[in-house]
Amino acid sequence: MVMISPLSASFLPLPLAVLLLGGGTLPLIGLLAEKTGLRRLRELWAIAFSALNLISIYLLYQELRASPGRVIVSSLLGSPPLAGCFEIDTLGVYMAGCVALLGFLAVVYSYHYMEEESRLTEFYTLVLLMMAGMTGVALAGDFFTLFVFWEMMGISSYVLVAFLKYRWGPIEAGFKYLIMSATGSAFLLLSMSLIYGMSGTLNFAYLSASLRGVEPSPWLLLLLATLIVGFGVKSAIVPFHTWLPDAHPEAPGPISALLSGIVIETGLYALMRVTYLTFTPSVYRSVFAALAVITMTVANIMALLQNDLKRLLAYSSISQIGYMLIGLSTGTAYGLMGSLLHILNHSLMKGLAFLAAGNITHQTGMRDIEKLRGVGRMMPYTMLSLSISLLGLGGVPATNGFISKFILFSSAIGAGMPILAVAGVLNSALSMAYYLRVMKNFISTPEGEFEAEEAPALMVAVNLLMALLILLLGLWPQPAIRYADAASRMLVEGLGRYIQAVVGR
Amino acid sequence: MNALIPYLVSVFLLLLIGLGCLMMKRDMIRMLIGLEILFNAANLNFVALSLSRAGFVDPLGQSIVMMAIVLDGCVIAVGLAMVLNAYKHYGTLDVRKLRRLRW
Amino acid sequence: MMPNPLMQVLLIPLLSTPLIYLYARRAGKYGGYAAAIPLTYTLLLLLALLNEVLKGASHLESYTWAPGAALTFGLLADGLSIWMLLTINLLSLLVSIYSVRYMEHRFEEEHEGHEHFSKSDYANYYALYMLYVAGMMGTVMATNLIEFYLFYELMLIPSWLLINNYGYGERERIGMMYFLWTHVGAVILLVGLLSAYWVTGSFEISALPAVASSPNAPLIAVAILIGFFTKMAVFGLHIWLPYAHAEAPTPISALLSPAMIGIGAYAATRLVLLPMSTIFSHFSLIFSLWALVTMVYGGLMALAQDDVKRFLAYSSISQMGYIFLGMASVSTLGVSGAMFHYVSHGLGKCILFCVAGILITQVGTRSMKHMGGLADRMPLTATLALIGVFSIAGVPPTAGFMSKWLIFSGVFDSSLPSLDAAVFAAVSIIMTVLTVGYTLWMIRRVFFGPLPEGLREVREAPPVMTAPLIILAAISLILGVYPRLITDSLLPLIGSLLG
Repeated sequence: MVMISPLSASFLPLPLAVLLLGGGTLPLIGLLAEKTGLRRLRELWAIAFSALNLISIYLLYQELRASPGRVIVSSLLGSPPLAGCFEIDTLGVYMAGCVALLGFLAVVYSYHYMEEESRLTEFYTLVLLMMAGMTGVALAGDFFTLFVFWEMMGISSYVLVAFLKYRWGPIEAGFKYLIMSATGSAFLLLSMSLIYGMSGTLNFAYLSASLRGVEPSPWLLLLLATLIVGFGVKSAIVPFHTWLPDAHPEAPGPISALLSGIVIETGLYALMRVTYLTFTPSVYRSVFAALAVITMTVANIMALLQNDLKRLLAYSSISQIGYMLIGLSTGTAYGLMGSLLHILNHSLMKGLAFLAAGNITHQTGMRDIEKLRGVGRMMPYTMLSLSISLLGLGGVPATNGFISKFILFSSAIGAGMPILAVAGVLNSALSMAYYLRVMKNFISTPEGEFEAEEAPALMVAVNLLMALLILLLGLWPQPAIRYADAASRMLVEGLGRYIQAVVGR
Repeated sequence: MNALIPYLVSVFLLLLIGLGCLMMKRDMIRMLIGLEILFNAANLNFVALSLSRAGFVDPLGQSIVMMAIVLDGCVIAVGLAMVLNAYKHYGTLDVRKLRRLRW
Repeated sequence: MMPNPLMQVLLIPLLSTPLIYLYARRAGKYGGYAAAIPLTYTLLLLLALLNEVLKGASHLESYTWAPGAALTFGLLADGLSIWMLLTINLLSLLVSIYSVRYMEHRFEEEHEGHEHFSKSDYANYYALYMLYVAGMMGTVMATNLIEFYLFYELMLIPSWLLINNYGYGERERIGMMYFLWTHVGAVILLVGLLSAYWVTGSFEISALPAVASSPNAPLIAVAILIGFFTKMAVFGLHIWLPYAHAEAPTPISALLSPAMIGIGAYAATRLVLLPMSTIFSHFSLIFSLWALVTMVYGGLMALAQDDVKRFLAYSSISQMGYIFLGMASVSTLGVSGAMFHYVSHGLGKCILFCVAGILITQVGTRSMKHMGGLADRMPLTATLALIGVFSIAGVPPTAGFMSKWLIFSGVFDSSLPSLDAAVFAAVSIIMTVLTVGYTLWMIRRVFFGPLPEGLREVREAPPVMTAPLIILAAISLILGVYPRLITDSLLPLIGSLLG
């Protein structure tokens, strides 16, 4: 039941079908909503479909668990390697699950946050299509499919960043984002052509079977470089990150949460998948390690200097990507598990941080940390959720951020790169400085005539739910660890099965 | 391989021109054109490499190019829409004026 | 015997936090009594356990946590940790009763500055207080390195918030300084712990002795120790302590100084000294020297202070130097002396900080210049302060005497060449004499001599503040006269673990 067949010979994974259906029908629903005056129909339609998406991810996961190490291959319009295909394994479902979770929470949050805006039909359509794009990237089995859904995700995100087009900020940020991100896509296309030239196929399994383990030649290194540029722009690796501090603050609140929480991680996932399939870790280890250190350090230092709350959180996202790169550079299942766990945890924590910041901007219209002094006393629930998310981002124990961070640092030591671990912990301590500054500012006494009310109940409820998840996953991490472990093992140890699933057909 | 060299050199040149356009031009529309050139460099690479396989033209390469052209078109369309909106706000197409968002 | 007593000791304070919060929102300052109830219960549990431990058994509980990441959750009460647990529990219990009157005074003070204080501030205070105590107890009981680290960092958040919200002076800046110093030390500790994992293959504390055979062992030991030395405020890493302890709200200072910085010493003993004693003894000379410097520095700086709380903070640094000296000797007597001194210093310093708090509430100032002759007006407080001072300085018949005696014996017992040992012992004995000197001088400045005009009306502190101190003083005296209560179980345990 997890495959839908729109045409006789092709199949779509169920979550993808759900999201595409939802996104495709939403314009009609929007039209209906305007004609009949049922104003909330759009929001409810979007919430319903994102909930269905979550359920279908769960069904897909259950299918995979039926036999461990199972890989499902489904193809569009023909059979691989001549046509595009989806290759669904635990890792893909893990990523799609993260997308679904954060997407659902963000859509529920938008119910109140975006109610004053116009063009809501476009908004929800784009959100659903962006989620469809990310799910497609997670489940893709070859480059063709990946690129199509990559662009779907990208284009939706360009428009969503620039959504509030009556202000100059989003337009400027959106344009810069578009230029940089499209350049990245062009490099991605270039790297695809290089792969095509070297191996004659774009299918991941065939690619892995032919190119992996080959001695690094200049062409392969060029390929690695273009892949890093192509995926790195979207995942905001320094020095390709310059679009992010502009784009994420200017986007509307829930979109910032989605962008920081899961879009850049999808870029990282794609980087992880493709580089692991194409190269043995020894080829790219030192590059990734260097990128990790640079990303963490530069981003943390820049974050210290910020006065705008959302910009600070944006730089913090860049540094968290740096931590995830540590896991990638180890090349071991344990390290990758740390990265994957951190993807889940960061999506919850950064998503919550941006949503709580969204509460604050929704109520006060301001983003300046100094001007918002004391806002925590007037919005206690928001402050509680924001504090939990910031403590989690800093890696304080009892939050899930600590669990994934310590696994990452531990894996770095175990893989023989203790310098990475030291750099990581020092950056962690450094980041605590600016998180503490935000927290301390917000809970101190307000100056002058500053007044703010607590945000609407639904928004606060979403915040508190995410905060609860953060604490729960921090104190009982076993389920999440088991899931991430299965996902990372699927990539590292299950590589043979992955290849067999397609090549053996 | 030797038959490919002119194509590969052109691809390289197009890359340089595209990147140069993006980095050096001030007009937003010219930057979008530079982006187009970059995309076309990648497309050309695909076409060139599809020619060299096994004596016949590989349909995979060509179909990728078709898809890429469609997607690039969408991206450029969105970009042009943003340029339009930017003109409404800033009154100019000079990208150096878009510096209100500081570091 | 109740099931799972240690888990109860941990969970009851945690679970009662929301209840205490809600109660204090209605009852305001009486939240302190509510906070005392779970702490009394846990104290009784611990005393029952003490009975078991004194007969030589140790009590271990283990639970699964996250096997996928090699995490187990265990709680241990043996001859070493039971004393820490008892001290922390007792001090927290008594200080929470003490807080009833003190925080009322603090909030009244702030009210005059037109800040928004209300009953919910009492609620926040007591809720954070319970979390802080739970964190400290968990640190001392942990058997798994990551569990230990969890509680170690968990102590930081409530104490930072308490300093940030209820402290004095530039409390926000000082709170951040306190947090960041301890946190940086803690993350370096984390690197050491993770490296130890890769050597031994497990996060259990009991697996740590295997690290001693690894070539990286000195590095790992140093990394772990840096974290603990920051917490103990040894010389060079001590900068944060005078600020934090002086400007924290006084009941919290009464917990920070005695209980929390000693946890650094306990952890260093449990994680490095005992499992890796050969490596630790390589550094014995350096550490002994470092301890002496800390001792002397703390004492000299204390002499120069006018603010009574800063005086006590520097005196804490000096006393940590003693504990460090005992540890550096890597001998049964020395290490036992160090742990015993944790208890006696804990009792004495708590009394003294609480006395400082009494001075703040009754006299209204922290500056010793403006005080004098208060023994006439506050005889009970003066007596308690005297006992507290004796306890720290090591004057019989208080507990401090025995603990310092053990430390000095340990120095001679250590692996240092006897000339060095004699020199160290001599210097520390001289320092002890100086300690007695400066602390008595402080007592004289505050309690004896002429009574200034403005202080004629000062009254004795209310019983809710003095009763806890009387209990502490009594315990110190009992332990001073009958130290075998502690040494009987401590010495053999340390001996066997070091052996």
